[in-house]
Amino acid sequence: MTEPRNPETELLFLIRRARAGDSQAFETLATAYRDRIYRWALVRTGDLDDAEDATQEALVRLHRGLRKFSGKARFETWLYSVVRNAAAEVQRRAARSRRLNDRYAVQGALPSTTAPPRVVEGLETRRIEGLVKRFLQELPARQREAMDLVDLQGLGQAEAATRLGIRSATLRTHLFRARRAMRNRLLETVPGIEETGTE
Amino acid sequence: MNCRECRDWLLEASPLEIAGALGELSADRRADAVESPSEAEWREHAQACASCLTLAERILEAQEELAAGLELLTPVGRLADALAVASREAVGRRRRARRRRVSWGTTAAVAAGVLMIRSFDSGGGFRTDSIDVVARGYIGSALAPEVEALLDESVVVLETDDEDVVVFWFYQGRGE
Repeated sequence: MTEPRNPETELLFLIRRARAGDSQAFETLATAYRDRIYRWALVRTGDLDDAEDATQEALVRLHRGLRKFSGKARFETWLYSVVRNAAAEVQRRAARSRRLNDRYAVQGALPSTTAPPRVVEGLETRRIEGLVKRFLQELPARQREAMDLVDLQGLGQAEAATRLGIRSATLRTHLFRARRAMRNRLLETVPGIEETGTE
Repeated sequence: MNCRECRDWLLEASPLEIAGALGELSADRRADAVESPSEAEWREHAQACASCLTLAERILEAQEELAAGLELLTPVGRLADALAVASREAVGRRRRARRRRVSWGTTAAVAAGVLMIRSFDSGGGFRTDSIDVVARGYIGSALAPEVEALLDESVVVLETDDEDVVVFWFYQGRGE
């Protein structure tokens, strides 16, 4: 039997093997997609810890749900929805946990368990760190997702809208708002910007 | 085009459009999703306005920095651990889901059995001290343990397809 060469065919071949219970195939698949899953989860949740949990949850769902992948949609599109659902579940759990902690904190029964903020390693400049923080902390989830898929990952607007389950016009609205929010700050920071430009 | 119009365009234009306007991109890669002033017009303004040109360059730079910054953020947990947990958890959930399905089936069988017995009771002449109720798929034919109902009570013993689970259903009343 000849080995499939086309990446798309190769992927479907891998999925079929993983679906049939081949743990090696699942491992290969998960290894190939884990960073991407984390990135999507991070953009969705805006929080490093939630993204970590959502990645784990998405891997579990991937393991369980591969049988449901019919191959009608692109695998990445399907996986993206798996990650979004996993992230939503993790955020629901985190919100419940926070509410519980708040309740106990009010009653004085438990000390606050808020972890210290994690230091993002590897970011060379404060500028980059500032950009990432602003992106994750100041933009709403939908705007982050739209900007990430279209501007940062280079997806077409139609494909991005499909992944997010929204209309293209709605996607464009989120996208423009995200760009404005991120770029407006640059107007303040770029030196030499004047309002006297040429007509 | 003046600075205000130029910046308004810059605030919403796609990175590809900005790169195209700066002449940094081949024409076939330019996006056309945003209705924008003509690139020639924009370029003309940018040639005469250093600040707008700087802003355009800074936007592209920031875009790349943001992409690079996000790329640096990867999961901290070990891949092998994550895979092991995923596999174990997935199998566990599958089992739990199966048990839930069985449990619903058992409940349905019990309910059906009780309804059947009640209907016999109301018709009279059917004693329900200890009855094996047969429900498709859930009740086995293995021996049920002997169970005595209290006075004025009846009992239904149901075996499930899980040999560790036997359901005893006590209820008030004794059909004669």
